[in-house]
Amino acid sequence: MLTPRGWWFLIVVMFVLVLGAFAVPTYTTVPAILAVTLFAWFVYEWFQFHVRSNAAVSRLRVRRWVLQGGRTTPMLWANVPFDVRVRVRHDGLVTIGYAVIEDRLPSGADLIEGETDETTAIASGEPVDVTYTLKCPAPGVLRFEGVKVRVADLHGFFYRRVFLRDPVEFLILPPLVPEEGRQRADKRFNMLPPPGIHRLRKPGSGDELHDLRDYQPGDPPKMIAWKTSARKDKLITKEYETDVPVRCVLFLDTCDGVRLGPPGNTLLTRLAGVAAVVAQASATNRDLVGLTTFDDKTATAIRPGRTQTHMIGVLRKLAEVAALQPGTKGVPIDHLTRRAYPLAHELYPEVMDRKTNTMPLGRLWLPLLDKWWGWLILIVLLTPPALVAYKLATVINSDLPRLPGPINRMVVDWMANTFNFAARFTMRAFAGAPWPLRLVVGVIVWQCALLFPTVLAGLFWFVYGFRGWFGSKAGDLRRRKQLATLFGLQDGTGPDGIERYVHDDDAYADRVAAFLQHHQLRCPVPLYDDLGRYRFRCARKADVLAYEIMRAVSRARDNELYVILADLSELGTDLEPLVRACRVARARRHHVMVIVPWPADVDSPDDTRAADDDEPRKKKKKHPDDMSAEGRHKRISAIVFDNLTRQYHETFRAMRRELTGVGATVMRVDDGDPVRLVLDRLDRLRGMRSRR
Amino acid sequence: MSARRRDDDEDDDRAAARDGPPDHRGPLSQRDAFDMFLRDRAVRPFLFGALGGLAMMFLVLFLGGSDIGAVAVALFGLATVALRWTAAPPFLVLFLLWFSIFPLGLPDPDGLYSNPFEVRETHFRVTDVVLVLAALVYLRCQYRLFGLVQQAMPFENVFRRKGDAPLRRPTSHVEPTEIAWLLAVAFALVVVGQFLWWLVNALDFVPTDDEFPVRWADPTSLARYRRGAREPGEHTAGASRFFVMVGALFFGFLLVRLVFGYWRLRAMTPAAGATILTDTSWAESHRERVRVEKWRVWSRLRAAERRRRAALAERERKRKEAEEQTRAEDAARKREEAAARKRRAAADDEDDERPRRRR
Repeated sequence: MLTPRGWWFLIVVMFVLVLGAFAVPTYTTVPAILAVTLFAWFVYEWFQFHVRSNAAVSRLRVRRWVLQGGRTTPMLWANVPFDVRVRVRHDGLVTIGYAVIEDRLPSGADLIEGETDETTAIASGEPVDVTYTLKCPAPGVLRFEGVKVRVADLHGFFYRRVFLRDPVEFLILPPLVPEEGRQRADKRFNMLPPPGIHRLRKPGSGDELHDLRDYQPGDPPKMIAWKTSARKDKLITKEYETDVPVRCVLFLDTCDGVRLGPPGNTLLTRLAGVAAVVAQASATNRDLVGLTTFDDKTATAIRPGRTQTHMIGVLRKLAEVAALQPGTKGVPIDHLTRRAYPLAHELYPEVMDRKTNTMPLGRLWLPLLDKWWGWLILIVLLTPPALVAYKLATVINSDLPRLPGPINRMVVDWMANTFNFAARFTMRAFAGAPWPLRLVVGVIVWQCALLFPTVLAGLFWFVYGFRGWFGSKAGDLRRRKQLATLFGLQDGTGPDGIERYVHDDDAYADRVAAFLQHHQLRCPVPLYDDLGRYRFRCARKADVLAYEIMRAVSRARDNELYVILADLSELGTDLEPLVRACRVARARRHHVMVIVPWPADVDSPDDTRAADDDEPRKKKKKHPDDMSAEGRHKRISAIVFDNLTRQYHETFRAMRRELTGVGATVMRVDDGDPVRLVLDRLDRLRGMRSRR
Repeated sequence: MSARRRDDDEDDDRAAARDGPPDHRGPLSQRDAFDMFLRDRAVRPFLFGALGGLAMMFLVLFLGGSDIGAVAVALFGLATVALRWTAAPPFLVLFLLWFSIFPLGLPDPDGLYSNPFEVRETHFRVTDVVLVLAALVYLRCQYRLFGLVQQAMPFENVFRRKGDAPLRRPTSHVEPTEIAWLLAVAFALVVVGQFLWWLVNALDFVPTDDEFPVRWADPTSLARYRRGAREPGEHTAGASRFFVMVGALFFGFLLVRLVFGYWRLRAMTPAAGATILTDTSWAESHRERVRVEKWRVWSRLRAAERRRRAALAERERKRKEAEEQTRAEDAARKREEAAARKRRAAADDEDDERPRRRR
C-alpha cells in the first residue's frame, strides 16, 4: 500500500528524526522539530488514507448497462455501435478524494467514442458514471470482467487497487445483411416458383401438372381432366406436383485449426460470417436453413427451419462458435503461467495478494531425497554418528553385541586417527594456552574431525536445498502456487487442489488453459510439434463430417443443398470418408458445395501460377556465404514460406480434385462471392424439378 | 462563403484544442509543463506555495547565518520544481538537516557549540516554526505539483513495466479550496509538531515508578542534566526522550494496528477471506499433501508406462501374427503354384499323344 515515494520519504524522515532527536539535540533542535512535524504529517496522511480505504473503497459497488439502439439488450449485433455505461458508487461515510475508475475493455471490441477511464472523487451516495461506445467487428462473445479502481492520496505516498468484478457476457450476433437478403426475396424469373417453394415430382397439391391417371373412386370431381377423358372415353384424373421448401444445411468446421489467429480475425470467424449471411438470405427467401457445427470429436446439429426464432438460434450458435479458442496442448507450462499470472493478478488482486496467498520458504526448499542419490547423502550423514554412538554404547554397556570385525576395526581406527590429529593440532596451535582451554579445543576439534563426513554431507544438503529459495524456479513455483490457490478456490477443491496443481503438470496446464479461455485471453500456440508436423491438422474431422452428412442425407426429404464450410486442405488422404459421403449425397441428387477458408498471408493458387509465368528471369542469386546474417535469415524465411505455400497449394488442389471428382463444388472464401454462389445454387435448386 | 466560415471555425477549434489543457494520460513534455505552470489556474496556487516555501526557507537560513545553505536549498528546490525531479524532496530535507547542523556547509566539529539546555529553551521559537512551516508547505505543494505535471497515480507494480504510462491528476479535479486546506493543515501540523517535541521532552521515563512509568519532568530541576553516576531508575534527558519516543511509537503502532487490522477484517471480501482460510489450511498440511501427490503422480506415470509397454507388446504381437499369416499365405501360394504346375504337367502329359520315349 505504501508506494516507493512514500517509503523513501518515511526512511529520510526517520533518519532525520533519529539524528535530530538523539545525536545533535544539544547543538540544534531544528532537525528534530522538522522531522517530528513531517512524521506527524505522514501519520496524518496515512490515517486519512486508511480510513478512506476501509470505509469507502471496500464498499464500492458497480453496475453496468449495455445499450444498443437506445435500450438494454441481452445480445448485440456485430458492426453496430453500442453504448456501455458503468456506474460506480459506495455507501461509506467518507469521500474518496482521488480515484481512477477504469473499465476493463473486453477483447474483440473497438473503442469508438469516449474513454474507458475516469479520474474523479467518489462521494458517498453520489455515483460516478463512465460512458463510452464500442463496436464489435466480428461475431463472438463479448465478456466484461469488471471495473478497476485505483485510489491514491494526493501526494503519492499511498496507493490501493481494487477490482470490482462484474463478469457479464454478451453474444455478438453476426451482422444483419438486409441488402443480401432482400435482393433474393423477389422472384427473378417467372419460370421459378415463388420464394420458399420448390417443386417436387410427387403427387401433391401444387400448381403444376404432374401426371394423368385413371379415375379412381373417391377422386374429387374437380380433378377430372374432362378433355382427356372425352378423348380416351374414360375418366382421367389430373395429378399435380407437390410444393416443398428448399432446404439448405450448413456444416461449419470448428476445429482447433480454424480457431487460430487474432481475436475477431480467425478463419472460423470468417466462416461464421459467411454462414450467417447465407442463413439470413435463405431465411429471407423463406427457405429452410439448418446448421451443423463439428470438430474432430463431436458435432451439434440444428434442424432446418425458417422461423424468426430459429434464425436467432442459428445466429446465437454461430456467435458462440466464433468465440471458440484453440486448445493450448503442447504449450510449455511456463508460457501458460506467464500468460495467466498477470491476468489473475489484475482480475483477482485480493486472492493473488502475497499477504493472503503466501508461499512459505520451507515449500521452496529443494528436497534432496527426491533423487535416488540423495539417500546416499543421508547414509553418509547418519552413519558416522550412529557408529560412534554405538561404539560408545558398547564401551559403556558390555552386554551389547559388538560390531562386526571389519567395521569395528574401521571405527576404532577412525576414532584413533582423528583423536591423534586433534591432539597434535591442539598442542601445536595452542602451545602456550592453559590446559583447560587446550582440552576444550581438543575435544571440539576431535568431534569435528570425527564427524567430518556428517558435516560435509549436511553442508551439501543445506546448499542443495538452499538453492530453491533463489533463481527463476522459485519465482515460477510461487506464481504457480498462487494460481493454484485461485483455481482451488474457484473449483472448490481447496488445499487438495492447490497441491495437485502444483505437482500435476497436465492438470495444471488444462486448468490454466480453461482459465485463459474463460477470460478470452489467447495464448500463442506452437503450430508444429517436435517432429515438424502440423499440430492442428485434425484428421478425425473428416470422419465426423462424413457421418453428419450421411445422417443429413438419411433424413433429407428432397434435393437439398449441403454447404460445407471447412478447412479441408490439410487432410490429404484422410479425406476419403468425406469423399464417400459426398458421393452418396450426389447419388441422392443433393448438391454439395465446399467453401474453404483461405489464410490471409497465402497467395491464391491461381495467382501464383500466373505470377510465375509473368515473372522475368531473375538475376544470379548470391551465395549464402556472401550475405549478412539478416539477409540470410530473410532468405531462409522466404524459402520456408515459399515451400509451405507451395505445399498448401498442392494439398488444396488435390483436395479440390478429389471433391470435384464426385460432383461437389469447391471454392475459397476469398475467391469471388461465395454467398452469391450459394444463393444462386439455391435458386437453381428451386427451379429444378426433381423426383424422389 | 459558408465553407470558408466553416474552415475558420475548424481552425479555431483546433487552436482551442492546442491551447487547452493537455490530456492527463502519458508523460508531459517540459514545454507543456512550463505552459501549465504559467497558464493553468489550478496549478498556480501550488506553484506559488512551493516558491513561497522556498523563499521562506531561504530567508530563515540566510538570517541564521547559513548563506550558502540558503542559496543551495533555494536553487535545489527551484530545480526540483522546474525540472520535476520526483526523488528530490527527501534530499531537500537532508539539505536542511545538514545546514542546520553545519551552517557554513563544511563539517567542523570544533566549531559546534554544545548547549545542554538547547532542548529546553527552543520550544515554539519563531524561526523554527517559520522554517518548519515553510518546509512543510513546500513539500506538500511540491508533491501536489508532481501529481499535476508528472505523475499522480503510482504504477501498479513496484517496477515500471513496458507500456506503463504515467497518469497525472487532471487540473479540473483541483478544488478551489484545496490550497486553503493545504495551508491550514500545514499550520496545524506545525503546531502539532511543536507540541509533540515539547511533550517528549516534558516527560520523564521512570521505570521504577509503581503506578505509571512516565511522569511530568520538573522544568526547574537540573537533575536531568547532571553528569556522573545516577540512581537506579533515573535517566538522562536524552535517554528519557529515547524511551518515551520509542514507547510512544511502539504502543501507538500497536493500537493503530489493532484498530485498523480489525477494521480490515470486517471490510474483507468473501474471496479474500476464503483465500486466507484455504492458504492457512494448505500451509498447515502441505507436507502430507506433497507426499500424497508425489505418490499419485508416480502411480499415474507407472500406469502410463505400463500402458505404453502393453501397446508396444500388442503391436509386436500383431506384427508377428501378420508376418506368420503372410508366411503361411506365401507357403500356401507356393504349394498351390506347385500343385498347379504339377497339374499342368500332368495335363500336358495327358494331351501329348506322342510315345513317351519320343517326348
